[in-house]
Amino acid sequence: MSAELVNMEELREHVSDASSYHLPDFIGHFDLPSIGSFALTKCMVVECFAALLAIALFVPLAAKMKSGKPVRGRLWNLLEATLLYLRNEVIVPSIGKKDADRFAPFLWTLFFFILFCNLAGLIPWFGASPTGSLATTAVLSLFVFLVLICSGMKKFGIVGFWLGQVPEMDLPFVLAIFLKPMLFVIEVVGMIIKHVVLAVRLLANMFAGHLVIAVIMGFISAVAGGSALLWGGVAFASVLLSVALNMLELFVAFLQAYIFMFLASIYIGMAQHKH
Amino acid sequence: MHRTEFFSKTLPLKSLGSSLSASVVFLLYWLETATVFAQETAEASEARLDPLAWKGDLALWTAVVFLLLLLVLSKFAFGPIVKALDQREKNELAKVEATERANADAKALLEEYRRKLDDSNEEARRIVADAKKEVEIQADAIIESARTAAEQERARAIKDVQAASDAALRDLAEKTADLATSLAGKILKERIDPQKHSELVQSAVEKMTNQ
Repeated sequence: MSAELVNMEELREHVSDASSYHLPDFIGHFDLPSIGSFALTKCMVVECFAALLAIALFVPLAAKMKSGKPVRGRLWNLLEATLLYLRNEVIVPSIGKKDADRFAPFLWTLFFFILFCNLAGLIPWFGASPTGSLATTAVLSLFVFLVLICSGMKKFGIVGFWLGQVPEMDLPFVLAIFLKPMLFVIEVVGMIIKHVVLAVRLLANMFAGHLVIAVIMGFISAVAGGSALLWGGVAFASVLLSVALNMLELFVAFLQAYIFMFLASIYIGMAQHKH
Repeated sequence: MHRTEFFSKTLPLKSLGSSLSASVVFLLYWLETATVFAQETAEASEARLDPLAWKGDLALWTAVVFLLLLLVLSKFAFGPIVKALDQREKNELAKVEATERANADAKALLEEYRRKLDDSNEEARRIVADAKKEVEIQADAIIESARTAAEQERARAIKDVQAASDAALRDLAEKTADLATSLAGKILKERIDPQKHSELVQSAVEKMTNQ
């Protein structure tokens, strides 16, 4: 039983953040460097990888698009089509044509950073999804919140933006004195909750997916001491199921990046218009 | 759509009431997590496996990496891409406008050519009709003139024939008179026998015939 627990622990370490890479035994394990109390972790490496990948893809794409002519090549067309889709089908409808291009770089960066982090988390041995950690999703959500507040205050003024949070209603003065502050508090708390949920939704989806795969693979070690037939059957089913779940994870990686960016653009868009 | 209604549809939280209660739960949970964070050094390995555990170093790292990425991509990738897309949009619009203009020009040109073609057809028809009329007039004139000429020719011929006939008759009469006179003179001058008389008559007739 203790051997099984060690195995489960090892599996969980594969899907969670760690400061060392557990590679197959014939390659060995190696620790990531640390400076004082600050230790580099797998999530940090993945984030750097995602950032570098985004730079490596989009800086050349920008150079190719500079001429104004359509780009050539499958990869560049794929990237350009994705950017155009997000801009024309998500950002412009949410924020409006006038302001969309101001926020497009932020929202594109958000989408591709999350997507690449999600996808990198699926790479065996290398991966630990940073988006499966609250620290990452909360920071990204915080940036959306800051962009929303700053852009709203820039557009309507500090007082105008905060007063604009209360929906306009024709209330008698006496009622308005009580109701409007309450509505203000509810709206502001609602705004904060929206962003907390934004962070938790991404976190929960990514973490849950990895954990389920880890648990399913853990079944193999859980029955390792039993009969060979049982072990073989469980191993076969677990591998098949985890392949299927990995495919689902691939889809979820795209879906959650899209949802995060979609909701972020809706929230930002709402801050650009009075209600 | 009202905001509240919108969020009740887009977010999993059904109403603001449940949002509030959820927020309280989250705040409590975060407070608890913050407490755990304070004791994290002792339980570092456990904290790593908790998805809601707050990892300050990862948060800071994420913020720095994301901001740097945003800066680099905005400056060197997405900024220029937005400009390029705007430029492309302007170019496309200009192309569409130019195409529409060209189309309008082509239509106007086509209309003008059609009009010209109609005019030309009309002109051609008119020319042909005029030509026919002209030809008919000319033909009539030619026929008339030919007829007149023929008439004149005929009249002249008749006149000539008449004149020739008159002249011949006159000449014959003169010749006949001369011959008769000469014959009479000869008859008178010579007594001739019937044979001689017959030869003289015969000779006179032949002379007349030859003349």
